Amino acid sequence: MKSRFVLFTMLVSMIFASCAFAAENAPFHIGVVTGTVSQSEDDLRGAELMIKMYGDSANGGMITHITYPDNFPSEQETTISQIVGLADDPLMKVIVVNQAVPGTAEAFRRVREKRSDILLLAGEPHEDPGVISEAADIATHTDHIGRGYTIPLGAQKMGAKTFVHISFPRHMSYETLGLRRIIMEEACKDLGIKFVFETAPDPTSDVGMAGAQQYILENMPAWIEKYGKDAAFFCTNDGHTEPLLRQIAALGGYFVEADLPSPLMGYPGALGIDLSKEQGDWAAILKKVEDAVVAAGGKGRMGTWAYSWGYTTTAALAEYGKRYVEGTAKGKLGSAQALRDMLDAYDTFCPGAHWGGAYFTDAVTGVKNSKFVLLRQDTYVLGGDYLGLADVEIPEKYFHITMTSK
Amino acid sequence: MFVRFVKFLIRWIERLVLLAALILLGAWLFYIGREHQIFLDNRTNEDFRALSQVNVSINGGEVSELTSRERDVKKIVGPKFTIKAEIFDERGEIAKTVEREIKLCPLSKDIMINLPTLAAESENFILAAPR
Amino acid sequence: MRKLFDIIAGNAVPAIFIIISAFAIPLSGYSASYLIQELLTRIGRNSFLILSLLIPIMAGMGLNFGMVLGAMAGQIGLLFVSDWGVVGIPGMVLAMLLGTPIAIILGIFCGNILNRAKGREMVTSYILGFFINGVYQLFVLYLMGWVIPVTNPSLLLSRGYGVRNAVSLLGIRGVLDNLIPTIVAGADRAKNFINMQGSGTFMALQIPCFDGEVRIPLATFLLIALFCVFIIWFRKTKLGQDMRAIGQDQSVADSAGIAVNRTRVIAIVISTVLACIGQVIYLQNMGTLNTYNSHDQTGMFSIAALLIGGASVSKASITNVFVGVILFHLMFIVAPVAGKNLIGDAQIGEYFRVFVSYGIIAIALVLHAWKRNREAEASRRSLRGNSNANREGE
Repeated sequence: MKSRFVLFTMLVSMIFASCAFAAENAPFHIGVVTGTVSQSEDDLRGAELMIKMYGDSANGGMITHITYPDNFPSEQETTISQIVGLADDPLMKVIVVNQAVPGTAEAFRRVREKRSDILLLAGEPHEDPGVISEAADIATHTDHIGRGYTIPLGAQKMGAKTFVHISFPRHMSYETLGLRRIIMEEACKDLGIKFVFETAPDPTSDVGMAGAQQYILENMPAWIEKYGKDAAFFCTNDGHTEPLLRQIAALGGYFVEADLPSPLMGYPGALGIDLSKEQGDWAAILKKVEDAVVAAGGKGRMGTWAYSWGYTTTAALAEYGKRYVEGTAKGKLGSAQALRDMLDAYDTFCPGAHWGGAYFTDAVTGVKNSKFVLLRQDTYVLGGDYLGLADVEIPEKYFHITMTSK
Repeated sequence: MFVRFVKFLIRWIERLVLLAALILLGAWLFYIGREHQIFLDNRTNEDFRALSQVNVSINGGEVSELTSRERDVKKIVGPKFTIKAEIFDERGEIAKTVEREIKLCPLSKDIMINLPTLAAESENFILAAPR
Repeated sequence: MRKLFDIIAGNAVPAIFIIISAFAIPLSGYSASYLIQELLTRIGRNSFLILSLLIPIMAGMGLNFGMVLGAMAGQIGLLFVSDWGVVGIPGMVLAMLLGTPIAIILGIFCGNILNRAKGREMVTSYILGFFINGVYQLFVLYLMGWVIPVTNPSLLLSRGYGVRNAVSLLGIRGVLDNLIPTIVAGADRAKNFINMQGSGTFMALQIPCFDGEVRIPLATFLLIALFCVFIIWFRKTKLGQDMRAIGQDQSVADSAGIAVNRTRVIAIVISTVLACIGQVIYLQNMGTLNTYNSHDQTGMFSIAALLIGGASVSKASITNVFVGVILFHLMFIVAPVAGKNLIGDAQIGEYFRVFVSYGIIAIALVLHAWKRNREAEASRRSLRGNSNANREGE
């Protein structure tokens, strides 16, 4: 008992003896929270780019990079604690969370209570737009409404007759992903393509990532058999993409783009491409992936965005935050100028590619949500050409499809 | 035997009373804790024209300024609330002030108050909420 | 020498955690006020759940992984309260009231199954947790909105039935924690706080030269203190004594006339109901409900915290609960950033935390088994046939 008491007092004194490690050179700090490489590698590489550009705060630079747990659905306490911990740093002025997993809104609320001067930016929120908009200053998301139409359109352009949507309940319960699926169904009907929904296991369930990937690998031959080689496949989970791509290259079928598209999403692992030399050079990465896809027999059947969504979002949000604090991004939050500033930040990291974007309008109330920005990039078919999907005008009816209209 | 039966019965009656008390507690919590949306509607009704401007506050909270054909919504907790409406005339001065205390029916959630009707001090100013 | 070795072996797990924390805290770079604030928040949030584990241990049923059933019951209560739009303290209490009958039914079910698995309670309750998780998901993903009326559209999925995966609990967020706002801060912040309060009870403690501020969830702590008093009182009641007797030796208790099976079921029911209440308290602090995942780690983390506090499968006290929650959550708070600062890579911090936390749980269980074997040997040596070491209960 006495020994325990002694150790305990040591512990208490340690709490008060802790000192800050951050050097004081940078004028302010930018906190970047991403997943780990096993969850979503691109997001993390974007953070590493920012560290390379602006320095790590531990060495006097600007960026403080931390990660949220792999098992974030079950470890919300840790996620919240990690994000709120960033606000403990008096120099912190911007916090970027990409992807903004469940718990981010609550973490932002707590940061706001402690420090109202920190700019809070959320990339690809998993929480409903209504929830995250109350807590964050700006949230950016892939244009789930527009892409609900452009992805089936892209499939049709590539020559597909059937569209197979692969997902699972947890993702379909997200308002953004669930709504996109409904829009895709409607678009397929209008475009004359057959829409099919297939269920695959959730990697965060008890079968794990390995089990989920194995399921896709094993079921693809049967699906190709059932739906034909002119079927286009789409999956909502990053982990499912790699086995899906491998099977499409080998067996047939089309792949327009991933849920969060990037040349690195699934292709390197599926086709065994070594990209260590091309790290950071997206044009070279795209070329090497394209060569590998053509060599594997997938020419003209598989597409992607030339620049990774995850990578660009992390970098662009951090860059926008920096510009906002320094005063170079002058648009007031929620204004048209702010939208242009955000698109500028995205274009900075994607020379040659084309981004389109708008504020999100709620289909039920018609109210414009000027804290939620929808963005999409043009799709590039490997071994082919750009599909021109970023400039397609989305027919008006798709903006009025709601969650309850089905 | 009889005594044992009575004891058994009394125990069950005690349990039923406790259960009833808990259910009543639950119902009471539901009644006083429910959040309601009060829609403020300044549109022309069958009998009364929309007001040119009216300032409305509920429970002494933030004031909403409504011109004709506008709507706003406020949230309250619990079944009772006070509404204060200051009606302006064409010259921009306060022509009338109406204050009312309103009690909601136990099972209704959201209601809409038609302000022209309220201003005319008629009784049918409560409408169903839009949804 | 043997005695010193015994002391260290007896308190090995807390000692390891204290030593690791002692290194990790300065490495993490967090300020004192942040650490204390986080710790107090987490103590308030988690203690109730961990305290609910004490009664089954007292009754000799081991660590009740089945407490996750109570957590699910509490969540169903919260879903209804969110649907009906009941907010504030009434909302929280109503959620507890609604969850309690569900928790009782689940507790009876769990208790009866555990009665058929005497000596294997821990594994059985662990698997039972998975089974009821499936039933819960069936209920929430299919029955709610379809058979069970749900009127609030923001709760339902696009297809019209089934609950969304993240439900905002803004209506009851922090209601218990902020019931009696309390702050410990330096002069300026304390004055700001007092000005913001208006009417209603609150407490402010001013400390000179303290730059940060620490908010204390006083009402939550009072509720926890009340619960501790309840546990202490319960141990002295007839039912409590019956449970302790069963915990000591089931066959002796049976021949003494105690209804063993029924008492065991009651122990599990009480634990499940308390877990239900504890989960509501946990979620009112979190502010968001992950419908399908919030209860996943409830059992694991609570049991881990209890073990780290020095409890064993057969013996646990209130001190174990609080020592455990402080050490376990301190590790959770500082390890990720400490690991990152130590190695320079953000991901390592997360893996470090996972490795250390779960590794320590494994060590705790292994040490417990080892200790039991040593006790069995010691009693064999002294030929006393000590019932403590011979008893089953994993």
